[in-house]
Amino acid sequence: MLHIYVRWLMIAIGIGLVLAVVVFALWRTG
Amino acid sequence: MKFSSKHAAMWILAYVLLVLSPLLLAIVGPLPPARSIWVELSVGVGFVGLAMMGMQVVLSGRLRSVAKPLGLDTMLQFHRQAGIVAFAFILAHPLILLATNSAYLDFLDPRVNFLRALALTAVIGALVLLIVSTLWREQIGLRYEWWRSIHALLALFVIFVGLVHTLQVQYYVSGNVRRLAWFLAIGAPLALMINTRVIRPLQLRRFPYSVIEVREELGNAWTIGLAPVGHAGMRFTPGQFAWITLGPSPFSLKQHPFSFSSSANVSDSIEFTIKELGDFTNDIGKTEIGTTAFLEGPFGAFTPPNDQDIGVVAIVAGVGITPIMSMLRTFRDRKRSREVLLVYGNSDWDTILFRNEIAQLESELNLKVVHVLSSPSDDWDQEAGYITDELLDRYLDQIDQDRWQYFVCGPEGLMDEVESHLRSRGVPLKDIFSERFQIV
Repeated sequence: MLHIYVRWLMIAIGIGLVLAVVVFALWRTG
Repeated sequence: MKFSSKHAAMWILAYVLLVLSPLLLAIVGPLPPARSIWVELSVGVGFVGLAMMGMQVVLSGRLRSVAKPLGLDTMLQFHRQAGIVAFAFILAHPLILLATNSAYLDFLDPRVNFLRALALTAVIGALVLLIVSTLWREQIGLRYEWWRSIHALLALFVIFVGLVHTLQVQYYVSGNVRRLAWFLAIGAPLALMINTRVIRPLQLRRFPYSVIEVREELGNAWTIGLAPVGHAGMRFTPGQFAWITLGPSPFSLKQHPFSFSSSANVSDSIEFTIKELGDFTNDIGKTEIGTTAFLEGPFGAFTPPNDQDIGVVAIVAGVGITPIMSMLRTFRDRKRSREVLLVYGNSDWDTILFRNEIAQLESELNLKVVHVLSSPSDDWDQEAGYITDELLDRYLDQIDQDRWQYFVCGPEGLMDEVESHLRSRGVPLKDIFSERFQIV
């Protein structure tokens, strides 16, 4: 695994996690 | 185990699922009444941030099985990036609440609940300290050993307060199964940390080493030779590294990672070559013969292929030669005939670490060495300047790219540059290996 990709991987995971939280909040509040 | 995209994908999936586990736990089982979208968002980022903090301990726990597919240094790099993201998530939790409803200021008001206000304020302070002391450790003059202990204590404090806060708010954590899962999720990192900082040093105590040689090398570097005392010694693969503790106790905080520089064929004298870099490494030459040492490892996936038909291209600068030196010495001892192209950057001829032995190895192995000097003398007629894309192209164009693997070790800037360039040349990810320790 190349280090140059680790930051991008983390950015992608971060965006994915934010989306998951948004989906959770939207689902909870209908 | 070599890098494979399948392993990496599974690893990333497991990480994401574990980080999302508090949210998954929240949606199974009885649901409390929904609150405003801002509150639910805030709770969501808080849960994810706390789970990421827990996973931080796993990432930094030097678990060989966890680190194997990606390499421990990549794991620590990921730990660093994930720490910044976790910080943002956790901080977003109170910020969203406070920005959308000032009533939440009560949580930080000591007149309402002194202990709660104290703990929550302290945890925000601890988080900020955690990030600042890590990202700017050298600028604020914090010694590595102190940073290591502060880092662990602050992290544990944040995780502990996070758990207590979650259980006290009593939202999404009702039911014994969910509570148990939460305790396990937080207890696991705690157990891991105890394992890393207490149990493992205790085990290391049974495998001491003794310094048998301290040898000065070219380029302000020293080679330390260690002999196992009362055991067979560590078996490693060339290119790997170990965490070294010099001194009578394996519990010392002065534990640092270094690549093996000796042949993997020799286990009765394991060598590490360490360059004076202006910190604790400046004292390495003063290490006394007979000093006790402990090794934790071996770690790292920066290792040559077993297939002898696959050539090794090593692109290194300065002390980055050490893992490659271990490979070359091992190839010599095992009478390997594989092709090796070494592109080796240094400032001048007199600072080339292992210069004479490399010249000797050139006659014993199928090895071609390209020295690149940034400040050569006037009579230097070989490569001058830095290891550039153009220079690499000149040598790499002469080889059949598919039959080679690439090993890069040196300063951050060089490694970023070379990794990108190899990718742009179409070298597959699985064939590029890099090793770096400038994690903190």
